[in-house]
Amino acid sequence: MLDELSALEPFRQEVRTWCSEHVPAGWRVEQAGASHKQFAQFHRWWGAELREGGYFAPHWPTQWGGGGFSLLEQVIIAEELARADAPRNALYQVALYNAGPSILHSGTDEQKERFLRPTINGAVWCQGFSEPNAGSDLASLETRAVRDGDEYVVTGQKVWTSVATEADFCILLVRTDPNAPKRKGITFLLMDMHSPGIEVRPIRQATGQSEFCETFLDQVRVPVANRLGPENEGWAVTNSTLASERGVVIIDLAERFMRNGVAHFIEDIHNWSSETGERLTSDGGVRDLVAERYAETAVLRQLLATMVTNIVRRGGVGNEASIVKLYYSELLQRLMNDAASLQGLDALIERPPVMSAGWETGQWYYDFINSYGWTIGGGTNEIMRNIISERALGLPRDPGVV
Amino acid sequence: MLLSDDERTELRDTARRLLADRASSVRVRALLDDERGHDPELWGSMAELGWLAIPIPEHYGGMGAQAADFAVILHELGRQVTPSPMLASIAVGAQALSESANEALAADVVPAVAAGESVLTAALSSGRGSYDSTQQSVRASVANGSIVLDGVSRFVPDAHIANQIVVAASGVDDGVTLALVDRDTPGVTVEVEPTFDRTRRLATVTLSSVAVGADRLLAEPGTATAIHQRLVAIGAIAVVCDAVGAAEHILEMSTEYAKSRVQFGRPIGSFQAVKHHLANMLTDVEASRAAATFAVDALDNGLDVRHAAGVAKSFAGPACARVAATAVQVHGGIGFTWEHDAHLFLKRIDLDEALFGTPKWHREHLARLLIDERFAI
Repeated sequence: MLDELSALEPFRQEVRTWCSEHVPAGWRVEQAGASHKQFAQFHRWWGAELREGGYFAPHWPTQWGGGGFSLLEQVIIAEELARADAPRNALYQVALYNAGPSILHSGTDEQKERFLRPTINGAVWCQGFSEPNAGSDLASLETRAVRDGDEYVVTGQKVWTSVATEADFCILLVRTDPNAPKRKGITFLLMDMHSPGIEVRPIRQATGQSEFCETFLDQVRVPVANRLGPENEGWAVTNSTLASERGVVIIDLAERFMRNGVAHFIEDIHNWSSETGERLTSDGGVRDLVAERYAETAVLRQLLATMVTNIVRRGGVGNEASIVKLYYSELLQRLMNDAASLQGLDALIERPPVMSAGWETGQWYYDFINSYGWTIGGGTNEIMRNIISERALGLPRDPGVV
Repeated sequence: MLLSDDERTELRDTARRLLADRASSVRVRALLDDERGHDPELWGSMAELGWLAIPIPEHYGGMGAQAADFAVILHELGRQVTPSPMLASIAVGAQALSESANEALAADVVPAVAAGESVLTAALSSGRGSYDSTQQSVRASVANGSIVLDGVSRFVPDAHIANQIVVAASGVDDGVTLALVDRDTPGVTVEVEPTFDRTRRLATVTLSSVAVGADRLLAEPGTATAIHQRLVAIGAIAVVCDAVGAAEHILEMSTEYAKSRVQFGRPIGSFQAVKHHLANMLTDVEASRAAATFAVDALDNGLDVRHAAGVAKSFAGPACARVAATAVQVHGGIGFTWEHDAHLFLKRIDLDEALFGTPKWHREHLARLLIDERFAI
């Protein structure tokens, strides 16, 4: 462990105490089968609790109402919240980890004042990046924005806009120059979701839940004052957003994966039996598999510890983040798949899912289906492999891809 | 003694420079059919540079540095698939005596080992290659204060050049007995077996009625089970460090090849099928490096070393083997030839995977902790 980290032991105790006093007991039971409305209500409440404790936006500067915590303090907060099995701060992920950092990085003082204040006070953001024809090839997006005086008039369709039904604002990518090369004609806008011309339709996912939406934009007027960065230079602003997406968040995920994923899997192994009536705990194949998943998870934790050390020593996240995303998502999917197949037919009986439980609801088959959110979302793993091979290993780009 | 981060980096740079020259492909290849299987001059240089002394306690003539420091050397030796008795003599042999309660014996033997004047090895596996403490096939019987050893241990690294061998035996109170035996003692025969990995030598050690005095035992007869298990774990961590070094290097070679080899008018590294192989290799290398770090840190922090070895071997064993196997594939036809080095790395890494306990055996140990003992995670 880093010496710097052991020096923060008193801080860890402080966070741990807060967690023991504030993390609600029994939220998993209450959130089983919760409606979308109940989910949002619960998260607004939990967000307020975190805000009061000072843990709502640990990574934001204090000037804008954030915690102003160092990276290592952020790591500790993430670990302790996960350890206490606190609900994830799910409603505010885009607000705090994508919109906020982008505005902090590229916004004017006036924009910071106008957008960061409401965000820290609980405004919900969604992300309008992907489109039906612009998924992995995000830069080919077609939603058009035409300048009309002090406003852009935006028309098009966005997809995978999570929590759009609850959102107050949207970070939006639009095409402002259709004649320029595709990365050169994109502009980054901050859109008020209460503007006329926006229609949000929930998408039902393979899990049966609807966390994502399609968002239709018909002549939506967005003030030019809401443009982040210069016109046609939105692609560069976007890249800073996508980098922050894979930062500290994953530490929380790994900790939850070990505690709620692997540890629950082992508990279940004790309770399940095979078709021949034998205990799974004495089945050599099962024992081998449990140990393998556990070892992989211990390695994940170490990968993250190394990543944190490198960030502290070098002052920035490098290619490790892409490697961690690839490794974590496939491990998550493997574990869920293995657990569901060992559970047998009972895994295929549908029960009300625990909302807010993240990627480990304990319903293995549900979690398996949901795990595609990680192997496809945030850049498909195939795209991650391209990125890793080009940026970390320096391999040439595919000449067919521009 | 503690090395600073800068000193550790310097150690790595020195080792990389020296081995790039003294364990170059040409020099390693010259040793593939050598009877000794290593270059005594290089071994002498390593001793002079103090590499052998790194993990050995100061009171036995060593540096008493951290496992993380010695891991740097193991990693670099792996990078160049260097033939050397480092694993046998230092990582495991000297470690066995350093851990022994028989301090007089250790004080007598270890300083010469640290100086490179004497070579040790340890026969910790059974005649079937099991490292399990319950399966040792050399039998010890107690007779008049000394013990008598009979039986076979296979896959003993560098036993043919070792001056002395630490032998694990069963037969006393259901526990392991560890005894130090001179290789030229009558009744001891050592026969080198032809390994696919010619950068290393494994031997079968046969003992018939070899008497060992009480002063040559590492612990009271039948009480060395815990040390035996610990040594196997340390050996496992050492071969993981070696494999990670080798995997890192073969990945670099594969990346260079993918950038320079042109087919269909473009570097093969621009094809996604090849890129994805290499991205998977990098992920495996970085994760294996993390697995090695996890285990080495556990050693330095006095944590459960069998658990640490279990994690490292379970993960990095197969992961490094995947890297090596994919490297051969990425190299295409040339990678399948004897003249190209890919096969040297493949065989080295595959032997690392199996030495000091297969991943499957290590996973069974983890399963015992996780399932039977409900180890808190």
